[in-house]
Amino acid sequence: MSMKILEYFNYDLQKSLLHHLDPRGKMLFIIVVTCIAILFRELVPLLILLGIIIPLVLMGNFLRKWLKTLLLLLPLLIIIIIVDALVINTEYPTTFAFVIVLRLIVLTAIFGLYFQTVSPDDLAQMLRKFGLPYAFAWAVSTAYRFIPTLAKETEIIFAAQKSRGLQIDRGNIFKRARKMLPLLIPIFASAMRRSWQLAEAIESRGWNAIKKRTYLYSLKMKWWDYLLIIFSLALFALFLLQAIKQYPYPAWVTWHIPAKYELERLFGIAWSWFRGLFQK
Amino acid sequence: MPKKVVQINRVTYKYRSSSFHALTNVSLDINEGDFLLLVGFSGSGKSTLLKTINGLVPNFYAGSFGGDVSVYGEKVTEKDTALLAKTVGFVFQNPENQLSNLTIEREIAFPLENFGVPRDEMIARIDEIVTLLDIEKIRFKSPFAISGGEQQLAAIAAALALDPPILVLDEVTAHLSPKSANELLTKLYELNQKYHKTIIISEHRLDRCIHFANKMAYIENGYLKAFGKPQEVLGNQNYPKELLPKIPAIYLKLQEETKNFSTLSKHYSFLSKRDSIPLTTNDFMSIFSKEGERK
Amino acid sequence: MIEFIDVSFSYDKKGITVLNNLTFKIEKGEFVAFVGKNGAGKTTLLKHINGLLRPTIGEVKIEDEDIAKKPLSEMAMTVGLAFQNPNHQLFAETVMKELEFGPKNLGSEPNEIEEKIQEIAEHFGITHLLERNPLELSGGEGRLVSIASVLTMNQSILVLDEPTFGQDYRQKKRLGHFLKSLSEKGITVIVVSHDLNFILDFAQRIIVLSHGEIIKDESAFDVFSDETLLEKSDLAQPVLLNLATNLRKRFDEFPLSYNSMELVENLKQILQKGEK
Repeated sequence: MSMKILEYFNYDLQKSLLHHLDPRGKMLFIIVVTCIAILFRELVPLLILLGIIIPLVLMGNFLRKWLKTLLLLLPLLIIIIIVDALVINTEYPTTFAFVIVLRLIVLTAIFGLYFQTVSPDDLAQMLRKFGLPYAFAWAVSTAYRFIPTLAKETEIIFAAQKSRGLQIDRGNIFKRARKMLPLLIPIFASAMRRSWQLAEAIESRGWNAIKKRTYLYSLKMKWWDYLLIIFSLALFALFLLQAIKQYPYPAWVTWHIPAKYELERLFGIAWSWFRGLFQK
Repeated sequence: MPKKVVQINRVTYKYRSSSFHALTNVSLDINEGDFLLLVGFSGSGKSTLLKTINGLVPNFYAGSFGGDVSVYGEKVTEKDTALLAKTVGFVFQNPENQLSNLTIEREIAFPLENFGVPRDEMIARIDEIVTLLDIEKIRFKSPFAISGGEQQLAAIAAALALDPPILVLDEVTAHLSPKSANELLTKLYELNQKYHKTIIISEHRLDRCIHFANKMAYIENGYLKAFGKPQEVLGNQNYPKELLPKIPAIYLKLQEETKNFSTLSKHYSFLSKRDSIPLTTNDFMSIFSKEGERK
Repeated sequence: MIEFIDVSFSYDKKGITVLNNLTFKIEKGEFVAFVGKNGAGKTTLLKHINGLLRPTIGEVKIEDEDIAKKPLSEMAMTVGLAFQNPNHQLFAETVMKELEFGPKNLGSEPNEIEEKIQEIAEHFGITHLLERNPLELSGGEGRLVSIASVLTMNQSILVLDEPTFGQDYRQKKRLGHFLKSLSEKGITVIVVSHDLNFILDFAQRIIVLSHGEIIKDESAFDVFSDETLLEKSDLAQPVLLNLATNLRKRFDEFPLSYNSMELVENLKQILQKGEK
């Protein structure tokens, strides 16, 4: 099992343009984009959305990681397309299946971008500004920060136990489950020990000593943040308008994959050809 | 008259999950500017004792605590450990599990932020510490991207951020290479001599730091068995031979084996005095350089 | 016999080479210590011995057989690897079960396992801990148990990563003596260590690594007498050797040694000469 998927969440210490945007503005933006992605059930708008997202991905130095993640998800995506195209009961199932997958792609892009460009500290401060207690905000950001560390440790534990002869790729389901114990317990014990020692350490450094904490690097909204917020709100307003008023779409928006390419039909053809082989 | 900054008075402690006492009736006083070396076998109670100084024991653990510990006149049981951070800086054994911020700079800022120090003061203070410990090159690095020795330096930097007069270190060289260990201990000595910090440290590798200490305490199974000047403690009958640093060990052994050499009292009289046990190579060599050679 | 032939290794295709053209041989029954700065490649090298990592270039041979194709489970029968952090291994309900884990995985006979455990527990002085929960032990005890749990697997090659970390003087001595007795019985013992005293007391041969290459492969004494070498590998000159060097300046032909008994004897002789 690859731990690589956890790299997805890693905050990237390099500074791209997107890093400088306030996390609150970015949060609003992705909420709006999510709503838009869900609103449209048509292929073309989603492709447009993807077209807008890709430059952002490039700006955030996120392209390689994103493509890597998509590659890992590829089997899942293909299954979704095939199953939905055959099962879902709408006018154009195959088109809709692609819409679903495109939504997934868009969402992985923007959420990944968010975590890539928002540091754990910024996240904690943002939660604070939203009114959450410091203890909670700190816990969330620290947990997030330790994800890659825990992932690495899991690999080490796995290696250590394998060196003692542990084999988890043999045996039936029940045996395999029991074999997970030599892996799970050290993982938990390690995490517990780490949390305890860390708690002692931060306590010794005055954690939560006084109510009014100061910050070395504090979140401040700049003009570009306000621009992003206004832009997102405008977009959201349009989205609400469409959702409520339901204006009809022009023809090019509702373009769909022609009926002769519907997967159901294509599978039908393939199936009869296959049966035909045996009837000869 | 030296000022007593830490007063440990008849402290007894038992962790809830344990069946035996970690500490029994331990009393000792530490003066301002002391460099106290705490020594004992694994499990003897060293960590527990150190943790009473900043209140982690008993405030952070479940167990029964008897006696009292005062730091600059304040009882540790009456003050939050977090608030004591201004008086007592604590550095732990495992370098990785005590660093949690994005960069070393933020790690040093962390205690300052916790106490609401204004931003410009913070920046000045961080600059000060980075210069003091010579860690400019790791200032913007992640705690996980540096070596063990650098991590411990960073931990010390964070512990010193609030400029506490007392610094407590629990086996901090345990995971370090000999070179890093030496550098770290030398730095601590500098902090003690030049900046008048009171240093309280538990260590296994005595050869490296015995000559820095002006006080030493030996603890065994939770009991304080010897306390005083290093030479006094090393020469104490309760002090186990196995824990003797190399030079004192050689000296004492040699002294024992040459007890009956008559000429020694004339020429190498050093050897008949028990309370001036040499701690370093230089100390040892001075035995032979003062007296003339006798062929 | 373990043989590394021109072994190079890097984690990534374009990543840095962690091991560079390593070539060396370790005979059966040797007690070898690998030293070097952190990042010199020591742990990576250890992982090549039991097959956790495979060389990017070159061969690793054990008993003249290339181990590149051997599965890890088979390698575990010959090579035991004790990791640095006991928390990464301890998981069982009792120390006894922990010590049984390895040999059970190898399919050993129950009474053999029982015997082996008793033998090792005695040598390590942990017989009184057998029914305790390994997760509740103190740091030093936990380390001893994790090392013991690899030793119960009765392998012919033992690899230990920083075995002295977290151990006090008594525990280190016990461990050192036990490992030495194993090497005398023909088991090959390989350690990575920073602990001078431990290496000096127990290892016969020291291989110094720097940036993934071997820069010295000598007896312990020769390595510690070379000051530039000590610098490069983050070691320090042993206190006693330093003393002996100073004594030599004062007394001609004072024998250089880092053994405290020898030093005391030599000094006694000098003082006896003064008696006459």
